[in-house]
Amino acid sequence: MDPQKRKSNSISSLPEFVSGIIRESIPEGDYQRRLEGTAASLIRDFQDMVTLNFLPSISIGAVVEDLNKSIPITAAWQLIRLAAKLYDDAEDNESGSIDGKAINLATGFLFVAHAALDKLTEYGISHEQSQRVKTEFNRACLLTCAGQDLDLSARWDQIVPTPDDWLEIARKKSGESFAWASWAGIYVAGTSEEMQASLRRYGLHLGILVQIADDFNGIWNSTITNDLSAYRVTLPISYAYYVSKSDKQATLLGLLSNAQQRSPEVILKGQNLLLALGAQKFMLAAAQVQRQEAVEAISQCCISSLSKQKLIFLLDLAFSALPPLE
Amino acid sequence: MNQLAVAIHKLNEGRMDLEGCHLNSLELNALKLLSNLLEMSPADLAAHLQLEDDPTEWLINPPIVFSSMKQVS
Repeated sequence: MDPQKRKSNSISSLPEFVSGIIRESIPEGDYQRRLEGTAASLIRDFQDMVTLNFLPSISIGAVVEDLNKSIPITAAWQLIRLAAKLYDDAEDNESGSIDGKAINLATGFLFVAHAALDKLTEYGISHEQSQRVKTEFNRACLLTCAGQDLDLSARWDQIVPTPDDWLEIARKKSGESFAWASWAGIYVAGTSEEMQASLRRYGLHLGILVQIADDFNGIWNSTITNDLSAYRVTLPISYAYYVSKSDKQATLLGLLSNAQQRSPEVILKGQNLLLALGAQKFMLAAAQVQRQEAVEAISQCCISSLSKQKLIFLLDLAFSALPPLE
Repeated sequence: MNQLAVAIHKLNEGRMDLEGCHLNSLELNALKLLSNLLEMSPADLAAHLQLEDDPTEWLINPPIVFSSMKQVS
C-alpha cells in the first residue's frame, strides 16, 4: 500500500474513535448527542491533515509511518482545544451572556479527552509511556488554566503587563499545551530525549505564535467583540502602553474606557492610535521571533525534510493569520 | 520582548537612537525581515543596528508577504 495512503487511513478513524468514547462513556440522551454532534462538526478526518489540530499526528509522522499510535493523543488534543475555545468564549463573554450549557459541554470534553488518553495502551503504547503522556497532559492543562487566570486578572484599568509579562502569560496559556501536543506524538514513537526536547520547544513557540496572531486579530480582525471593548490586555495594548509616555498612556486608557460602550467610532480611534504607535509592526516582529525560535528548534532534528516542511507549514499557517499591515 | 518593543517604537517614530536597545540575534533578524515595513532600507537599518552581515542579502530574501486573513483558533 502507498505509505501516504496508509498513514491517512489510520488517522481517518479519528472521528469514529471520539464518537466511540462518547457512546461507551455515557448513556444515550440529549447531552451525549450534543457532545457527539459538536465533536463531529469539528473533529475532521485526514483530508485537511496539515493543520494545528493534527499537531500530534504530524509530530509522530516525523519519525514513523504508522500514525495509529497518535490517534488517542490527537483526539485528546482536539478535544482540549475545543473545550478551551468554549471556555474562552464564555470567559470573554463573546456570546453576550453566560451560556451554561456551553460551559457544561466544555467540561464534558475535558473528560472525553482524558478518556481518549486512557485508550493509549490499546494502541500499542506501554503503560509507563501512557502514564507519562497523561501526567504531562494534566500539567499542560493546569499551566493553561494558570495562564488564563493571569490573563483574566490583567485588566488595563488596574495594572498593564509589559510585553515580557505578556510573553510569560502566553507561554503558559498557549505555549505549554502546544508543547505537549508536539512532544507527545514524538514521545510515543520512542525517540531520543534530545528529539523530544526539540519538538517540545518547537510546540512552545508555535503556541505563542498562535497567541500573537489571536491578539492581532482581536484588535484588527474581530468579527464579534473587539478586544478594545473588553478589559483584557492583549499584546498590542501591552506594547502601546509600555512604549508610550504618560500623556499617550492617558489617551490610550481613556479610549479603552470609552470603548466599553462598543462604539465603532471609538474602536476605530483606538485601532488607529495603536497603529500610529507601531503596534502592528511590533506584532509582526514578535511573531517573527517566535517563528525563528521554532524553526531553530527543529533545524538539527533527524527528521525527514517532508516532516520539517509540514512543521514549518504549521508555523506559516499561524503566521498567515496575521493580516496585511494597514 | 520589552527591548524589541522599545526598538520598534523608536524606528516607527523615525528615531535612530537604538544604542540602548539590547536585542538578541532573533530579534535583530526579525527587524531585518521587517525593514520594509519600517519604511527603512535594509542598509540603513543595518547601519543603525550595527549589524555585521551583508544587508544586500535581505533584498535577495525578501520579507514574508502577509496576505492571508485566515483565523487559526
